[in-house]
Amino acid sequence: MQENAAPWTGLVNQLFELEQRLKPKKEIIDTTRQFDRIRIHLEELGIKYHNPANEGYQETRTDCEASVVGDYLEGKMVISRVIKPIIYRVVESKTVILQRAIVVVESCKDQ
Amino acid sequence: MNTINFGIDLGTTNSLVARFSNGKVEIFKHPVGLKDTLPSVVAFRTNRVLVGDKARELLEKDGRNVFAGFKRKMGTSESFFVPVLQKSISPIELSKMVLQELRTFIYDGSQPESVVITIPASFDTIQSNATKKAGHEAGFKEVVLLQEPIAACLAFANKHELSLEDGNWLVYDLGGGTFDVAIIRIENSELKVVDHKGDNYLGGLDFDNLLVERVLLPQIADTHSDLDQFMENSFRASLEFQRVFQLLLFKAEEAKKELSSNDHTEIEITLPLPSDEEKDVLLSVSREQFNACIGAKVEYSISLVKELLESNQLLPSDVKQVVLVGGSTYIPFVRESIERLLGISVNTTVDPTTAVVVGAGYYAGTKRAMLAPLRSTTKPEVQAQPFLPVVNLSYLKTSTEQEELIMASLDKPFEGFYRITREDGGFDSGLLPAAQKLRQYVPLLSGQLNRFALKLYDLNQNPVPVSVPVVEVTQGKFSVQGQPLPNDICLEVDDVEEKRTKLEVIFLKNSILPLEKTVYRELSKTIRKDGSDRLIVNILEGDKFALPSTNQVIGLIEIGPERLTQDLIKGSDLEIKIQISESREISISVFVSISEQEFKEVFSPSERYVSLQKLHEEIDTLILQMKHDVKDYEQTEDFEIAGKINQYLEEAIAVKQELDKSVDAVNTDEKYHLQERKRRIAQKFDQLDRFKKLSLLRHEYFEMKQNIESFFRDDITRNKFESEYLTISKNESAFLKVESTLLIEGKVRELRILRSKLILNSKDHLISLYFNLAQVDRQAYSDKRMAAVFIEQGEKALERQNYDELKMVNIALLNLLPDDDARKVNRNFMGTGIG
Repeated sequence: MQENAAPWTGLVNQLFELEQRLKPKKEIIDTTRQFDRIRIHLEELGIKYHNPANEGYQETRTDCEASVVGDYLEGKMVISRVIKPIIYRVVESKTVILQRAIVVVESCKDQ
Repeated sequence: MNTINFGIDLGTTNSLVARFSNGKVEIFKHPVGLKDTLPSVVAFRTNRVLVGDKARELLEKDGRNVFAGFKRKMGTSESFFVPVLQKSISPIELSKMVLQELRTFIYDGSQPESVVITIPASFDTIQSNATKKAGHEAGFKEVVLLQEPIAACLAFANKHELSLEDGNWLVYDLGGGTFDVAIIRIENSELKVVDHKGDNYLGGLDFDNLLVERVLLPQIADTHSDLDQFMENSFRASLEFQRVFQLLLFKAEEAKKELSSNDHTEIEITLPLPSDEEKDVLLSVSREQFNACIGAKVEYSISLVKELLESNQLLPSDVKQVVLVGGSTYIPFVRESIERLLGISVNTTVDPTTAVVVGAGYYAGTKRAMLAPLRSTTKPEVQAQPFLPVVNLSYLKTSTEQEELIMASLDKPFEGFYRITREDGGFDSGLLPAAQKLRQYVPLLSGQLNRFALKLYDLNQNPVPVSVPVVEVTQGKFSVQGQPLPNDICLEVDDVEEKRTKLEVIFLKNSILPLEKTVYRELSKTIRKDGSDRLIVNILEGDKFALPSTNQVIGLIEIGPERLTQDLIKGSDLEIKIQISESREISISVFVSISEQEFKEVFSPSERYVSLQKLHEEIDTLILQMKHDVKDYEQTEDFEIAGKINQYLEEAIAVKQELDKSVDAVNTDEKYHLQERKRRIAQKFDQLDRFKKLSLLRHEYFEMKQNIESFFRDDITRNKFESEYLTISKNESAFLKVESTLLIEGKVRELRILRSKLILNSKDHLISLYFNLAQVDRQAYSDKRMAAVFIEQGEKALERQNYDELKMVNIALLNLLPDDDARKVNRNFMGTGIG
């Protein structure tokens, strides 16, 4: 999809960061409902995002750009930190990645 | 002339590919993530080869099997031993792999046979020939080389459509990891690299590291006493520190970009405390601090420029243009330093990250290809060839697992590789050695159709023209227990303009259970805590195009004033969540944002739900509609239908009378009975009326359009209103096909509003409307005195030919006319409260 994706990715990255920063403060201010709603509106506009935190990491995962911390043990790596989420564009049931996640991965052993 | 058209910047750090077409250069983007660049890195894994980003990730972790910077070794006898392959590989082979990967960027399937590849100014004949060889091995039959600084000059000259006058240009190339500077001499429009200098270990990555080490880490330790461990060597050796360092590097890169346009930026980061807790830290970086960090490195690069000029007996004033190349030249300090230390002004209008490939593209667009042209630039037809294998696929088409096995068998032995990629770009198996039987587990995206492509490659990693069908696996959509919905499920919402309710589809017929959806609406009216209005969330099952009153209520929440903690103001948000379980149990949750109240109820499909307020309103609306339609049909002399509707009208009136009588029906079964009778009458009426009405509405739609177009004979009117008209009639063939009276009615209404605007803007219509209103019996106006005042004002406006004033007079007079019966009923419309 050869289109200017920057405004979308910029918007979603800020949203994601906001979501992550507010998560530990859920007891004081619960914004789950608002974020769920924004997510639904984005989906109506054909934009989806996904936080791959704690998912397994293989080098075949081209939806993430990883920085490896510690030893690299093939098949035993896990995403320990997500700096930017995976952003998808969905047009007529066809899904395309607009932005790969920026993640830190490390071996299960190191965690 | 048949020109080459394709240009490649085969860089030390990153590579790019572009095409010249119709006078412009298009840079092909990475199919995933849409970046322009491919890191020039190759990684060898067990049974797999990775090129680009995935390989770069492993560079620091597995340096023995992952290779970067091999461009510097082109043309040498040096080769790299790959432990995982137990064999050595040459820089030419590695470059070939990068070039082959770049071919996958060409999204339209073109298979260029000729290409221009750029090389550094420092490359000698052997290095140049090695690059050519890599190009040939990557499948290009014709490779033309172009020096990088010349390519950059071409990009610059083409951007500004400059004629190449005789003189010296300077190309300053500061990339991510390398620095080069070259003098280009132009004589008789010919460009030639006169001399060059460089440093292979100077670039933007150094700047990021310096910013972290010299500004960010000291600031963390200085301003947060609980984080002073960041400067301690013992902590710096820990994994925790490495995690934070990666994050800081990422933030430093963003800050660096930010400081290119702002004097100051802030970095927010969450850091670990020794107590295992986390702390949010705000760091501040000024452009001045950043400049101080990188000052020495930049000055060093400029000292190399000075040396180069001196050794060629040139003064800075002999340089006509300075062309900047490489992402690091975005930094204002770099640009300022060149201008300050050399006294030469720089031009910053060409994107320095793509200048080389763009120049290569322009060159390719003018360079004649020596090979015969391909007949087509699109994908060649794949034809069965006897020596190629036929691929038979085997896989599950639906799956509830997170990954699935794709198996393929080849009908004859095949030596080479295969690769499987997922359409969205989230999975790439890399190149795997092929055997007669292929097996690969692939990850699936949840709840959707996943498409995979399997491709075969020969031993030189060139694609083999074998036709393999796309693998399609649907994840999670169909489970064994899954059963489809027999009817549409809709929410009843208000159509405030038409003073009636309409249906909004929540789940379509044949959707697979269980289902869940949240819809967001606004309140269509204010519901006061001390008033009598109610908010009604009505979920209906039936035809989405039918009248709401014909469908079966399957879930209903009525929120009366007694349940409210405050007034609900019109326009405030409502969140309605509807879930249907596999056993068809319906859960509705309504969250009213203004009062932060949540109302939840679970409905069993075996019960019926009736709101008396709604029942009264529905039967009134139905009767009104029937009366209106009877009149219409009688006017068009369609007495048969008018007769039938009259019959239904009598039945509806009977239901209304019974409903009015049974005021206390709230606690009896009577309301269910009356509701059912009303529904049946409404269904019969809807069935009878809908098709007739659809055809009338379509007719009215076209009539209205014709009427509006007659106004467009006047150019001023056309310019003012045509775009609004085209917006309304957009997708006309689609909405006219749908059997929804509401949809076409909506369009007719929009056209009617537009026509009113046109009338109000038309001088003739304004005058004739005024005369009609002036002749209306004064007794008919609700305020006779005001009507007389307006009529007099209209006379004067006519004399002055002030048509704007006449328009206002007409509107005022129309507002003084009483409502007809229908409007009276509409004024009392209660609705659901959901807009």
